[in-house]
Amino acid sequence: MKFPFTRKTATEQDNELIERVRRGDRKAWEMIYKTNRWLQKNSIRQYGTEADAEDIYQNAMLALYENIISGRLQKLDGRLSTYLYGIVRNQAGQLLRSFRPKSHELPEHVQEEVPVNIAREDAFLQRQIDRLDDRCRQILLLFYFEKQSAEDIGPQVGIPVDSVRKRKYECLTKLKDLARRYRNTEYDE
Amino acid sequence: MSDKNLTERIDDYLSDALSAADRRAFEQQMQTDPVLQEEVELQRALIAQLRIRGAGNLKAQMRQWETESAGEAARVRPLWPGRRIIWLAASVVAVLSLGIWIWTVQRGTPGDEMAVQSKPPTTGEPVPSAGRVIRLPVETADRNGLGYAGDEPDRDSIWVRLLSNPAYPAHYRFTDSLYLYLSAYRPEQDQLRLRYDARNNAYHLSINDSVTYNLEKGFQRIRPLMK
Repeated sequence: MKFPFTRKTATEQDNELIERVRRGDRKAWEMIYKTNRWLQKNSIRQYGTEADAEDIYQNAMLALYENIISGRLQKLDGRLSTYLYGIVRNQAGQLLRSFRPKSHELPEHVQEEVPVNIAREDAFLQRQIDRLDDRCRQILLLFYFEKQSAEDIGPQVGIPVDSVRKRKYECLTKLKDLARRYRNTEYDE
Repeated sequence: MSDKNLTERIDDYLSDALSAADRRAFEQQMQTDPVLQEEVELQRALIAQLRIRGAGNLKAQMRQWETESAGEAARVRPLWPGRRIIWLAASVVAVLSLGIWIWTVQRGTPGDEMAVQSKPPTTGEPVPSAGRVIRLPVETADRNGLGYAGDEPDRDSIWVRLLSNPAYPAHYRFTDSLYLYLSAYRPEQDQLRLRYDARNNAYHLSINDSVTYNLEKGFQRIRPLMK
């Protein structure tokens, strides 16, 4: 049994932060980002430019976020900074590999086929997301990107928890309608 | 199936929320229903784009923190307007105070009307409106006498400022320096001597060894010279 006034270990504090992020606490996320920024400075020394280091750190943070909200990262046994350091190293490795010339690279005069249609489709769908009203967009992002529960989404968007699911489907249906309605007109432009 | 139910059902399918049997049935239906197939693909693509948007928002937020952090590091903290005014006022007061102090020191005391004449007059005539500063030796008498405290004077000479003011024909003020108001003083002719009587812890000022005044030290007020 723990003594009631025992101080929390650093790992316990990190796990609390992770749980807060999972529940959509943006302050907790900001705290994780800012307290581990030394990893970015570390990356500058190891991997070169400040812009690369910032990119590496932000991609690592994004991977951490996705691991948290997807449930892949439930609970840490060690420090969060150690876990994050591993991701930073992976990200840095990917970046360094991307600088190396690839043996299968096409000669300069042979241009690789660009999937124009896919890029165009993505841009089109992003424009439909922009067309949604703010609340709908927020609900969908909280649900599909942040993977939050209705109980957590309700208070954030100011609607009863019982209505969150219903609103989510309404918003998704609306988004699909927008996509259907504008598909022909925008593609014809 | 209504649109709403269809959207919900596709959502359940895409999020693996259907049972194995329902999932199989749904997939079989898709194979025979191109409209359903198209709906599923649209919803899948929209959800993928929502995730891309979410990640983009998150990165934008992180970039903003970086910008703020860089701005904070680069910015020298400006004084807020109120404080700037206070600093300006304080500077004006400081400059004025310094000016007043210099003016006061040069004039002797606020009651003096003469400026200090740094150059001594070349004639033997009294110069009633002039003032000057001299270093006057302190002669210590009876240093070994009974009762000598041994703590005065702590200097063997002091600064004496000679001033002329009709309101103070024969006066003095003795603090760290000695201010002598002697209207009839002739710099080239009159000889001043300052003696310290260690036995009685008293100062005596004699002029031309003919007249001696007792001086009391440590008072800001201008006092008359008393024999």
